[in-house]
Amino acid sequence: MARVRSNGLSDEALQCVMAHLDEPLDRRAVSLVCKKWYEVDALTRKHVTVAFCYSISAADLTRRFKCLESLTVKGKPRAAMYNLLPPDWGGYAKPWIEHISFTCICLKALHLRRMILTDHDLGTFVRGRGHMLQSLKLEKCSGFSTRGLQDVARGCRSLKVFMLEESTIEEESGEWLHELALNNSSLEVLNFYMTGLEKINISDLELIVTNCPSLNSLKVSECDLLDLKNVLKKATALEEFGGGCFGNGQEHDVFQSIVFPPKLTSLLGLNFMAEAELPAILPRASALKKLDLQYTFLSTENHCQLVGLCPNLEVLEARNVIGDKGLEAVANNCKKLKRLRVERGADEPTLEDEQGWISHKGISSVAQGCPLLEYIAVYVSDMCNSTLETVGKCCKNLKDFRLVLLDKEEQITDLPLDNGVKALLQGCEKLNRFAFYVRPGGLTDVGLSYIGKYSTNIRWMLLGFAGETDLGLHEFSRGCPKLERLEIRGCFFSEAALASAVLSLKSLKYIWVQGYNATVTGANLLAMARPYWNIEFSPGLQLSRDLFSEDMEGEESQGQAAQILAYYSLAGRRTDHPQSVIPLAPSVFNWHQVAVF
Amino acid sequence: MSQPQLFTIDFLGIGSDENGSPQLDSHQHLLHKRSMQSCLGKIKPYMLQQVLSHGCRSDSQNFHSEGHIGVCEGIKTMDLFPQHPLGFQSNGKQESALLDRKTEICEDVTTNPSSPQLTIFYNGAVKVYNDVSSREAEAIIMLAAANEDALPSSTPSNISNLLRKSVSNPEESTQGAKQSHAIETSNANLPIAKKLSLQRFLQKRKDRVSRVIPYATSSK
Repeated sequence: MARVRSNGLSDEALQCVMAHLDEPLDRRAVSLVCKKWYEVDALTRKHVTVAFCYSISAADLTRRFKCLESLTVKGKPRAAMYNLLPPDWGGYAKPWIEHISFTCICLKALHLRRMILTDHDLGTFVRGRGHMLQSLKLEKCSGFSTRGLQDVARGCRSLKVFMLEESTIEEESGEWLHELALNNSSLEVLNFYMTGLEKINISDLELIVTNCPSLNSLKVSECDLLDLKNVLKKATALEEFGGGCFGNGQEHDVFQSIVFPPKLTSLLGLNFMAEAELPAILPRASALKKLDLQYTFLSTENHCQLVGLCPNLEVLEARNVIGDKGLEAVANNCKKLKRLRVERGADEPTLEDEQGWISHKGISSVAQGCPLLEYIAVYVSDMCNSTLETVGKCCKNLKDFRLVLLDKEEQITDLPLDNGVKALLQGCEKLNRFAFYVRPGGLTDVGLSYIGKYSTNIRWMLLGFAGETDLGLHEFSRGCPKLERLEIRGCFFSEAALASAVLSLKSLKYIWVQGYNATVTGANLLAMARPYWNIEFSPGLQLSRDLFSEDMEGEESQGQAAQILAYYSLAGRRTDHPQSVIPLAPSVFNWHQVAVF
Repeated sequence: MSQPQLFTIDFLGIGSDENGSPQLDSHQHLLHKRSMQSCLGKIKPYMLQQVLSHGCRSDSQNFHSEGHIGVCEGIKTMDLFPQHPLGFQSNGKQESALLDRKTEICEDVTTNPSSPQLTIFYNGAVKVYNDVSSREAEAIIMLAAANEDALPSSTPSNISNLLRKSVSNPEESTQGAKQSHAIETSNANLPIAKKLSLQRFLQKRKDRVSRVIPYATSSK
């Protein structure tokens, strides 16, 4: 190959060019070209996302990327969001904070997701980076209290983004919000949605919206919406509002006095909103681009009525009370829809007579009516192959498809879904995330082999009760060329087959399994032992209870079945795991490690 | 790549005699089985590591010889620490070979009816245990490896509990029908997990509704 004469390209020029590269995959490619380019990339890389905190040590990362401006670190596996991991599973932010606080002198933004950090950690970070911190996001984190938040409020006066969504925070007072109100005038995003914080002083919120003219997103915990009337009136720049709740036993027309800000395009939360309170949001409906109705008390009819008034909707989230009827309304009215999520509702029939459920009919309507769809995540009660074929034919922009077949109904129209899945995967070429959670018989070994064969671009996959035997898994693992992260739940595969599949999947970096043909000790998993590959085994809950009964909190963790977690790591074996997690590899008896000894 | 290794290591050559029968009688055997639990708790991890790494080196020659020293009958090879070549990729041949070997191992275990033994040499004492299945042996070794970080006080009870569990589980994984039944029952206890945020909302709704209409029945 003729060598391109780029000798004239100086370091500065190279740096200038590379500074325009933001895509992580581009950056990865560029850093592999030669040593010089690796060094320039290391100096110019502004943002790194560590998808799993145990894959690399904080020291190694900060040593390589000295000029990082923004860092995202994710801790616990996704299963933690479904209460499948013990609360002390791990994902401690301490080593990260210790390294970045005083080493990364350019750091302006930190995003931690599903990690554990203490007030002390927050204090350290504020002391190190507070003076220039612009964005702090602690999403689904735990281990800290409002005292830590006070440190942040006092020490980070240039904060533009302060996000605490769904974190578990020990609440001592509302002082942190007061400090924030006094010290900050640059806030653009304030989010303490789903934190359960109650000691919120409304006057502090009013002060914040007055002092911060750039505030465009405000998501609060369950403050009474009536109390927030003034806040909403003063926050004239607000485009997104989330949280708040509609009180019980109020006179309904009282809510009509709530006026949402004029530029509002995004409404979430609206906890417990019922039909009588709909008029509060109807004036803004036609401008809405994002609407989340998951925590409302609206009926199927209400959903139909509301979406009928939202022609500009791009993101819609609801529970399955929306029904096939509601989805039809979406298909007819929301032609710009890009993201649709339909969550499951309560299992038992409630006093509110919730009869809503969605089936293949609703999905078909939406697939045909909304051609711009990029993300579909649905909990359905019934499915058939032709609907999946329709999705494959119509949703050409689909990047993320997640289907869960609920287990309430005995009879499903059309099982197995082998041919439907095949058609969907063949049709949606841009698909890079895929979840398919069915029941035994929902997908045969042939169907599983189709997934392997036709997932050309898929990088993340969740499979639930997919396939029948080890043979299906074997065929599956011969495909999926770009699969990097795999989650499997409820299957019949043996440990040996899983180990073998892991070795076959060319791009696999991470795998999580629960509910499989487990042995007591997970010994057969060692068949996939290889350099830099960590294997962690959690024995089933029954066993754990016997071993560690004084530590388990009974109903807290639903991790009944054994779990496997395996991932590539440059950081070696975990040392901060709880007793219920047993690292099988790298073992102390690893030949390489013994030699080093 | 080394051959799969056994996990009985006889330093002093004073293990089982030529026929593979234990040196101790059944009475003492029972006593020793109980004391095994406390012995395991006292093994220093570093020592066990030395023993096993020594064994890995020395036994590869002994494996195939006739009156092999340190090999106990009935315990078939368990490739617990396979040494893969240093590439991350494995080609098709290798994995299917691995899969074949695994099936071979399972079959060997079921077809060999003689009582498998586990021999432990510690601190000058020799303990031989009859009827130790490969699963139990695996469990013991796994525990020794896994408990290297655990506090000394917690180790003995952990090990004895885990052993009790593994001993009480019969060889179900080698029998197809039993296997699928066991999996079905365990997977039946695996309901579709609910997102925490949704769970909290549904619970709050239940509470709210019962506050408003406290004496209503729960179903219509």
